[in-house]
Amino acid sequence: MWSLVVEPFLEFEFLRRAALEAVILGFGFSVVGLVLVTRRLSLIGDTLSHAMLPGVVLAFTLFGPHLLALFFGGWITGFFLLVLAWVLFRSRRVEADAALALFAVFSVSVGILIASRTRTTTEILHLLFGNILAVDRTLLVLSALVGGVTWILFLWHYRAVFVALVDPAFFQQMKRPSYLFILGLCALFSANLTVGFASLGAMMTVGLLIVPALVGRSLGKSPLQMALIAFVFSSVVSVSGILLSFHLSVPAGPSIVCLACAGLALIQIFRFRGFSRSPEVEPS
Amino acid sequence: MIEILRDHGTRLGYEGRTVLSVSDHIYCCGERWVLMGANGAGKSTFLRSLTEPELVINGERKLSVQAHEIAYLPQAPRFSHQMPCSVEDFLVSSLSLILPLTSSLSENRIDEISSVLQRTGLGAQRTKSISALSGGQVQRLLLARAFLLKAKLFLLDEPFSAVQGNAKHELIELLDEALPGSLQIMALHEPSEIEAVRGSLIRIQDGKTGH
Repeated sequence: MWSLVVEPFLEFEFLRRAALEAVILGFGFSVVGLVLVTRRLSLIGDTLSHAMLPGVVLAFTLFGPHLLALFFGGWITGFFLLVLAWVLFRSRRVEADAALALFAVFSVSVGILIASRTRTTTEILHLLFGNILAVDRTLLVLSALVGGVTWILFLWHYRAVFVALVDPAFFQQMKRPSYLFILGLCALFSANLTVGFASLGAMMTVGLLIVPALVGRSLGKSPLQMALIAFVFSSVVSVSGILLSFHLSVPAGPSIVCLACAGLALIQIFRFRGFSRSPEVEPS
Repeated sequence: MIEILRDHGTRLGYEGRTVLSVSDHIYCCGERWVLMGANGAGKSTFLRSLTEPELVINGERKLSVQAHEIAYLPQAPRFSHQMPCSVEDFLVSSLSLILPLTSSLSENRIDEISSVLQRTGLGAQRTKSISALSGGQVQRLLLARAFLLKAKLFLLDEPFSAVQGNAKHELIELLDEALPGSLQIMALHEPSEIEAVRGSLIRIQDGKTGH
């Protein structure tokens, strides 16, 4: 047991870093995922990952493979995409998901056009898929910063988050969310997703974002409990996923996501057999 | 008379297209207005335009209340059924929303919540999840919240549509109680309800309102 579970981490620094990074990612994701899942925006992460392409490519062309440059490139592009989608949605011309999808395809095509004029297409695609086993100190610090800010804001505005999740229409009417608030939210979401892409890659980030949130939501009684359960769950599957990938020599990201989905399935089966929730009334 | 709403040449619509021309009028505290009109005449548009200023596409409208002093009850309220929340938590968190970030509700306010829950007939539902409430109970819960928030402008879109018989009269009594301190505008179509609330009528016809 010891040699299977603890020794790999003692021996290899890259494993320790990868585990730490995954746990840190799960920290910020637990809040962001909860909000996205509850507001039915689960696939926003997938959309954003594509949308970041032009920013990442441009940053790569201008500054080379510097993590910070790539991070800011992706972050700013994701931020603008979210803001644009929100503006379009607010003007009632299109639904939120359609607006996002629209900008995403536009963004991807622009990204590919830029990339095709540079020599480094394949390298950039590698970057977009991320590699958690090659995480460095800068990315660790960056992720911790983003996760920390997310949680501080979550706890600070806890009541508002709660009302916004339970009764969005009332929240909107009472708060008339200021532009600054919306911009801040877009920046925060975009930052969380960007650190995710940099380490886990675009595809797997969505898994770590959504699955723990679903687990938290099915077990927790309040948003805080849900977020904490999501964080604990994602930490457990992250560390076990990385161990699994080490022993079986398979990629780390998919291992984590597969374990998370298996965990979710187990929890659901257990819940349906043991404790049933109060009967739900369909919204009329 | 405290003025709450003043319309002058107001036109309401979507994307620059006029849906409803509102007649010029000054609405004051202590008044109750009933919007009457066929389905699709623009009753809901009129009510919504008071919380969504972007629906006002022309003219001058002066609204002398803050956003948090408006209680808007949509026809079919939508809660997120995924987020567990008891009736009491729902009211406590809603009321806390307008407090400064660090303070919490006073004992008095908590007592007030219980008494309003009793009066709206939700006393027994206090710890129940809001997703387990019936349509009529949801309407009562939203009215309870409006009273607790001491709303100065009530915008009620068919507020009794899912409430039965006697309970209707109790809710109207509560509305009467709040009337001196508020302006109440409601969309109704049931003749017995229109009679029971004893309000002045606004008829909506052919894209125009008339008093």
